[in-house]
Amino acid sequence: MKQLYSKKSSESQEQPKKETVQYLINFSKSLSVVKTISNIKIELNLN
Amino acid sequence: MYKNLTPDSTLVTSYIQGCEASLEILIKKHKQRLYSFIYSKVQDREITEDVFQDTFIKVIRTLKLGNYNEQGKFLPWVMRISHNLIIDHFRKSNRMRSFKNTADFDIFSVISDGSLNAEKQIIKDQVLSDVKDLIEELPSEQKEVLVMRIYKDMSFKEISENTGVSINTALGRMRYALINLRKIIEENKIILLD
Repeated sequence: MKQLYSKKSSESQEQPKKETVQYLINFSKSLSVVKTISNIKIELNLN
Repeated sequence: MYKNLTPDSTLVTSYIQGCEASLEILIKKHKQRLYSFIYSKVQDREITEDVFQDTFIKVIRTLKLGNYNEQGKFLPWVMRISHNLIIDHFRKSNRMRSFKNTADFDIFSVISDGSLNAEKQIIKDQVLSDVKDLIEELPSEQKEVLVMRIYKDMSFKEISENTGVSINTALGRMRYALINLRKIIEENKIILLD
């Protein structure tokens, strides 16, 4: 049967690079937030 | 497509409580939709990648700092963050248009500072002064026509009326004035730089 519709563009299927996702996961793991005595939150990047 | 039936609100709560794996699930669950959304706006893979990354960095920071308060609306919140970052990107790129120089195109060939720098201004003044000295060497009739035409911006009709000669004579004097100026320049090996 003749194909009436072309396949959906692959562009809409595209995703971020694996490295980007991995970077975010690592970034999250290395980031911790601590509260000071005066109740101020500080971001600590433990890379 | 990545499928995980755990509600976003549960994953967010679990991540806030320290479960790093929940973030991975959230990213994998929404990466395609978010990426496509960003790409549809910026139409550039590299920029899409950057905005995607910056979006999740902001998400991570906000969640870890305990500043997230939109329970149950995780994806719309993430999309809003990326939307704001896209706007920032366009604002920045409007302020700083970038061009890549190639063998065929050099940005400096089309942009220039409208005002002259000090060195160029000195050279230009010197050239104008030299030209004035050269005009002084011309026969008086030719000098008169040339000064009226070039420095006073008069038409040949006006020059004709002011000097009492025909337009053709004024045109002829102008022509000879230019020929003689060139001769003086060549004979004296004068170089006028612009």
